[in-house]
Amino acid sequence: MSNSISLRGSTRTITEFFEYSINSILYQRGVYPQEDFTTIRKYGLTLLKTHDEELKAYIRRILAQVHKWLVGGKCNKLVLCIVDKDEGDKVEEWSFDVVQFSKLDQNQVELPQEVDDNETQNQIRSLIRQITASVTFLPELNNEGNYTFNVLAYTDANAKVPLEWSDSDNKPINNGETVQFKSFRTNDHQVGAQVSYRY
Amino acid sequence: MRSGSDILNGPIEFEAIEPEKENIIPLKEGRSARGLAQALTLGSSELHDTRVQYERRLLEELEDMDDPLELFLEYISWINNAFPQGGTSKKSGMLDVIERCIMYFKDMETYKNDPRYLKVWLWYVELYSSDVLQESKDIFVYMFRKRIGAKLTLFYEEFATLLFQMEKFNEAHNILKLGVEENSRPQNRLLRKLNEFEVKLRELNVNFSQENAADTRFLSSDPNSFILGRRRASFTNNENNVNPQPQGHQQQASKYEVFQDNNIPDSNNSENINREGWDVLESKATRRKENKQHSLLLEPGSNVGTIEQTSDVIPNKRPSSSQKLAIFKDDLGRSDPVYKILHVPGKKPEKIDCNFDLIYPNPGEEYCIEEILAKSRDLYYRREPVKRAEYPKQDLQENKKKRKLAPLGEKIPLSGKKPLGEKKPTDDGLALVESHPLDKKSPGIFPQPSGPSSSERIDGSHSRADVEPPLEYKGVTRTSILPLRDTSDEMKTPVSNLKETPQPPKSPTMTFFSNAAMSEVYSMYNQHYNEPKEPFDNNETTNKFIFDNLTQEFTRQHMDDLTEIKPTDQSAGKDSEKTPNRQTNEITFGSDFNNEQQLYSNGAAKDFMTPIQERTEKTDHFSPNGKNINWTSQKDEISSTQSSPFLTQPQHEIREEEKYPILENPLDPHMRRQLLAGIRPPLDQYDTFYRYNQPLKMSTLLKRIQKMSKTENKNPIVDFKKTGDLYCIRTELGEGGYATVYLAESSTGNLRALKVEKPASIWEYYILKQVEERLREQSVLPSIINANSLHCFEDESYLVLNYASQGTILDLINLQKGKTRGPLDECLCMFFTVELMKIVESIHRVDILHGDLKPDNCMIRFENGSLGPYRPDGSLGWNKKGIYLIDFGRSFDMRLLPPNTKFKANWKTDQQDCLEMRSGKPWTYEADYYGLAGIIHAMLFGNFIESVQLPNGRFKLRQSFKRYWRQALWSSVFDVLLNSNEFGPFPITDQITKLRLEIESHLLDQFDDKLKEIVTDLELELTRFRR
Repeated sequence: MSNSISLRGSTRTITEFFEYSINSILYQRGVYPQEDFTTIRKYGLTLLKTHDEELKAYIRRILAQVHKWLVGGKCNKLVLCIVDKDEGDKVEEWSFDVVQFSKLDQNQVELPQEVDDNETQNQIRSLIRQITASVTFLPELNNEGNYTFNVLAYTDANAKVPLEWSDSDNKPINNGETVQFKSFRTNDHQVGAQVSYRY
Repeated sequence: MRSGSDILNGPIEFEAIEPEKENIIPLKEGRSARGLAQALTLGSSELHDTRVQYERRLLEELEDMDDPLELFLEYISWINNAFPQGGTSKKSGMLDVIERCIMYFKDMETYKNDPRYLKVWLWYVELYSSDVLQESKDIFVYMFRKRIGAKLTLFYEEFATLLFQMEKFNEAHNILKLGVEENSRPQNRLLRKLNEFEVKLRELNVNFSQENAADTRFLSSDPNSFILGRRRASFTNNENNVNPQPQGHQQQASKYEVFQDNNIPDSNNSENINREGWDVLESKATRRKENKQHSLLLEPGSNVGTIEQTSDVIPNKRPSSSQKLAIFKDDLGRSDPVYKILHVPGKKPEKIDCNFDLIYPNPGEEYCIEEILAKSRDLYYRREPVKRAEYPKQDLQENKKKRKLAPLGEKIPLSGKKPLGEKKPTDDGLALVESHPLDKKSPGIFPQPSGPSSSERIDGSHSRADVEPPLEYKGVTRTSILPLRDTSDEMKTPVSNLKETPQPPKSPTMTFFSNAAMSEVYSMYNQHYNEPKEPFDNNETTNKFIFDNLTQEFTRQHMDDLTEIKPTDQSAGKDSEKTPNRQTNEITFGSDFNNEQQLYSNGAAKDFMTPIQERTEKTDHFSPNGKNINWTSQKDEISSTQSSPFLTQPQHEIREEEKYPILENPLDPHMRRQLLAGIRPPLDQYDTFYRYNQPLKMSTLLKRIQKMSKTENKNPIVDFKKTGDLYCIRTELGEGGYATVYLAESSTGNLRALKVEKPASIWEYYILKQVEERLREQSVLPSIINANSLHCFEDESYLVLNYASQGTILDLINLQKGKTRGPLDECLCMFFTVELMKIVESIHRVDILHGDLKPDNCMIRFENGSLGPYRPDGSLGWNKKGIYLIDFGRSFDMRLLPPNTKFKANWKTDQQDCLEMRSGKPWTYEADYYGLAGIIHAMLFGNFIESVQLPNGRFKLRQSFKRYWRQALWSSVFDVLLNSNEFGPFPITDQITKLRLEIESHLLDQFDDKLKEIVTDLELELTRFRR
């Protein structure tokens, strides 16, 4: 029982993190106009969150489903792709790996120690900082409004998939580069992040 | 070093970059994280090696390469990666490499439309000129002329974006359209961009469809005509040909060309090319120090030949300095507006937004705006010699007269000579007046000299019969010096002659305000304008001289013509207004004024005066004053102003108006005398008041000796018999409006300030004694200057004051300005503000109004003594630091006046006087609050106070507070002080106290030690003010 509660708590933390990081990325990469975002305080940082109702609802719908999968332990990766509207090319790919400790082979990997909530928050903060700082090397996505985004979820084969989600295969970015960010941990999960971009 | 294989494969850890992330300049196209990680681990020697390698390849291989651009690009991208700090850093050497690259390829046809090459250009613009839009534009224009990227959409997009940023919407639109015409690639994108742009423009409500060509003159209206190879070639050849000077630096040569081409009106195209933008793009470093370079390069006289050619285009005498040339050429658009500052002694300098060099190109020459316009369009100077040389003004005058007399001229033939005259009045007129046909045939052309002279001959008989004696305008024209109106009338005259039904003169006055009469008037103004230059002494002989002068003028004018006297009178009246000594003018003044009133009632006269703007302003200013005088003269009193020493009749008028009595002339000595006569105990019972029933006649002497003794070191001595005090005058400390202050040494060796007033004034002494009396035993008393004694003679008075040696707050502000170029430290301002507020509160509490608070009336009082941390109550030595308030000459004792009395200032106000005073409204305590605000402002900002009215009627400072000041505090202080009348009934001492406590607590909390240091430091410095 207590295990289940902690799992849900951990999943909520992760889903929340997804929400803020997706918002941050959409803002920073100029996928949506700046005016659509307002500042909020979160994780001890000033972050930006959209106030465009449509976009909010869209993200919420995705994350609600991701949350379900996470609770069921069915999702192991979430990918945010930034796509050029004209050519349909993928320009950037932000991927978040989720590792659920309970699913790991106990023998191969030693179980990490408990982490308290504060520690998790700290780790999330430094991860988001890195995402923010990544503009130093990421290319400028010029002509604003020319990009859109997709969210891909990597699930187990046996996961239930609602109708609005369709199968897709993720094409890698040609001659791109990948940068690995820090990761954060909860008691049940570890989440890593990386970005691949065309250069 | 990190293991290389780790970095080469797999994702890069962000940690490798993170510590340097602030030092990485983001690039438009992004950076390779791998490259970054590598670059950040490289040492400077490795960087150097790679650079040397690239340089060698540039040197050795470049000429043999198939694609030399490739090498440059490689080099540039290496620099980008190796120096993540960005290309603008000097270490990277990016500027040099890019400039070499763009210069190398700039004439290679193969590369002109290479997108990679264009990107290098854009990169160059972005990196080194992005902060100066104009410079970016210049580079784009240069590229356009060189046809770099002329077939690439990217170029047009970037150029248009830049122009859009500069808000040159039409030009931007044109550029995009040019791109479409050029079939640049990819065309679809350009068309789309053009559409988007037009949509955007429509949103901004910019009308982009019209006047396209005019806006892109720098590109020429027809781009193909000059950007095609032929044109360009001829243009470049031209550049070489016109440079005959062997010593000519290339840069100089192109500069000369700009001037020369301006002279060839036909070659419009090339002119446009040359006038704007660069013909030669120099390196950034050269461009930056362009002006400096020129001043070094150009030898005097080396370029005279070229400049001469420009002389008839630009009529003003430009000094042929090289600097001017350089500036002229650099101008892409228009130059800054030219203005002229007129300095008239005794007045504030006046700025006229007009190029005086154009209007008065040479002494004695003047052009009106229309003439200048005509000249600029080459329509003018053909006529110029005719007019100047052969067309004297007398003729003009006659010509003008003839117009008026034309009806007469028509009558004569009717009655006598020609029977057919009735039917053909025109013919008759022609037959008689020979100048008419001439005018008629060439209406646009200036009448020939013979015309007017003949008309003069004919008119002669008529004009004799006219009201004006012929003598008169000979005299008039001789003095006319402003030909301004004449020229415009010249244009009119032929036209009016053409009208065969001349209009009868509207009224006789019209006649007299003819050109010459007007210029006569103008000339008189001009003369009077200069008059204040003559030094006025308070000496009676000079005054008599002026008086004579005035009467002479009057009489002369009276003899000439009655109507003409009016303007003269006015100027004379104005003049007498300026004369410090009234007595000699009294009689004339009254009559002047009557005349002036006549003048005002005369609409025509007023009309005619409007051309000179400044004049109307003055009359406006004058009239309220005049009304006052008129009012007094109705009561058969002698007209006078505030300070007249020769006043014999009571002047003091208290008019009941609304609820409060208004004192119109608050500084009037007679009123003061009356007031003082009523006080109890009478002044004569004061201990230190000494009245002498004899004149001393020392003050003028003092003044004179004072001037001499600067060189002769001979100090005058003033002997006050009643006390037996001898004062040796050391030096003059200051001179106010009514008094002179000297530094005097008493026989006992004490230094005193001696305030000498002529005529004698006991008012300030009275006020100071009252202050002393009413504030007895209060801690604030040392902050007010102490009157030792007053020696009052029949003609002058000597007020003996304590001498404060440390200078005024104004001195302190200037000292600080000289030292740090900034105003006083904020916490010092706070300290003085507190001190000032204490004083103002206490004197207001005892019903004394200072009336003249300003930085120069606050002496600094930093007495010796040790100092602890700041204490507002004066403990720890702080009672020894503060200020002295001086100069109570404009003060009021409210207890002597009916309650709620208000004042009206009748002296000349300035920026430091309160708003009510300046607008002529009645005032009381506002004066002190505004004065206080002025002092604080001067301390904080280092300049005099300027306030603006907000829409809600409140006043606020024009300047805004510094970010790091206690903004809330200061703004509430100024809000109260500037809008004092909104804070309850006067005096608003409680409000001030509240503010003061607030500032004090600030000082206590944050600055107590800092203030102590500042004050201690200042004390040392202020000794330099000791004289």
